[in-house]
Amino acid sequence: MSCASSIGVVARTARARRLVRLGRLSVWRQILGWAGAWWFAFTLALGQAIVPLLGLVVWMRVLPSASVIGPYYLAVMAVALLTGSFENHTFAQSIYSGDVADELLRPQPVAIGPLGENLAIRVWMVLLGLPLVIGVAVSTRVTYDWRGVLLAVPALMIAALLRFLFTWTFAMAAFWTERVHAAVGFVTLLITLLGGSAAPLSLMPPLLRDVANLLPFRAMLGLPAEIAAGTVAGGNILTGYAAAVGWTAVFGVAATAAWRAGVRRYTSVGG
Amino acid sequence: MKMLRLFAVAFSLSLRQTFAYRLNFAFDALLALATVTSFVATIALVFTQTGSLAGWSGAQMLVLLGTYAFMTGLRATFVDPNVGAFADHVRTGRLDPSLLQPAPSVVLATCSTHAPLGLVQSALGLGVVGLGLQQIHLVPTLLGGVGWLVLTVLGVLIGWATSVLLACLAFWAPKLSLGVLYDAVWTFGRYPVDVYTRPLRLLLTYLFPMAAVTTWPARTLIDGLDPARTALGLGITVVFVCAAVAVWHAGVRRYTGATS
Repeated sequence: MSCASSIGVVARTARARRLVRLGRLSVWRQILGWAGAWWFAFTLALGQAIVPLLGLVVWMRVLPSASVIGPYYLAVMAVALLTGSFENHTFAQSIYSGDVADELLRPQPVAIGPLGENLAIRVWMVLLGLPLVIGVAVSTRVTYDWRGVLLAVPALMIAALLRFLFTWTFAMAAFWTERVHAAVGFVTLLITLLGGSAAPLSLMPPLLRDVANLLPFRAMLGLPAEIAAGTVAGGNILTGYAAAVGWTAVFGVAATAAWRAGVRRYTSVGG
Repeated sequence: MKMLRLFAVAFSLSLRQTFAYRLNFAFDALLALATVTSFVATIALVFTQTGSLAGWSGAQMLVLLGTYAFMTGLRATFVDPNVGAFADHVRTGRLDPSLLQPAPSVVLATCSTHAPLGLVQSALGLGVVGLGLQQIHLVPTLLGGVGWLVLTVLGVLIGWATSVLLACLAFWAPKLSLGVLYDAVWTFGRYPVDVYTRPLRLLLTYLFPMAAVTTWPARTLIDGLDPARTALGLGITVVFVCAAVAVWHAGVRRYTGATS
């Protein structure tokens, strides 16, 4: 019994190592693939940064004496670059074109492909968007407390995972409809409006703020920025983390369910 | 006249293609409604903290946002469907038919495909303009209304010309696609140019004239016709349209295709 259990542990460890290696290879392959379209990644980075940049400009005009606006919106810009997800273009397109059939035949989880591409695009966006972030930081003379930044790092990692799972789940609407862009476009509007990009949650009317705190959008964008800028503290950080972890679990289950349901009805011809 | 007839035929064809898939209409109408609602909600959030943004009241901002939504819908209907796949057409040689037919190639290649569902956003934008005017208790003067109409037409031409200028880069760098960049810069039109710092304001007036696309039409509707502003808008439009046509012809001269 003990021998069988040991064998099971060894097999699971070997499988995990293999998955990590495959994931690393997938990310590296996609980084190299996107190197030929770095200018496009640059435009994607600008596209991600523009709404927080507008928020920064507008809210600094509205509240010129509020010292947290600069740090908050700069952090939102960085979070947007680090968590941007485009599965409605990449993965949904592979469903429409039939390319996802190739992935189904490979002896590895299908999620490795979209996850690898997602991380590779983020690497390029951060590299190419960094000068913009630095430029804005210098021009607005923004400073941060390093403890807030360290506290925000786990929230940022959760936001990155949650945003991927969220977008991937909605991108799988491509199994049922050709209007996946409309579906993802709609939820992206909600992220902008209720996630902390249109306005910091602390400046929203109380009722709207309560609703926004209950929904997953703040965990994808505003929460890491709020922690880094120091606009949220103590128990509210813990509540924010609890909501972020909960929503990540929910969308993990939703993505798995959508994949299983979608792949059952998926058909393709040719090759 | 011939160009207008050609344009009308192309639009009619696109309309029939669009309504072959009626469910798409529901999807796009809902998305347009959500988009315009999110614009208004964003401004409403800003005005919970202030009574004026760079000299614009909340109701005046609604007029500007409505104009922005109106122009964005027109751009989505008449401009984006053509320039979106332009680089791909240059790369694959699918531009050849536009060059061989008996009509100006720039018109055929950049004005012959339409996405009529974008007009839903334009209609909603007009509604928001009306809402803003109602809140200011303002009935625009005849000259103000005509000025708004003229400036919006000029705005569409500027949108077309800037899109064509960026798309024409594909003649020199066929893999270059700047649609996302264009969308990002267009977003600056959601706010009056008075909000931005002076260098950015100058850029948005002369280099990528979003001021002429949204701020000036909205200002004209609110304050009445300003001949100097309209003349400047006309001048900028002429420069951009001429530049787009010139760059198009320069690009076509270096284009080669071997259609199979």
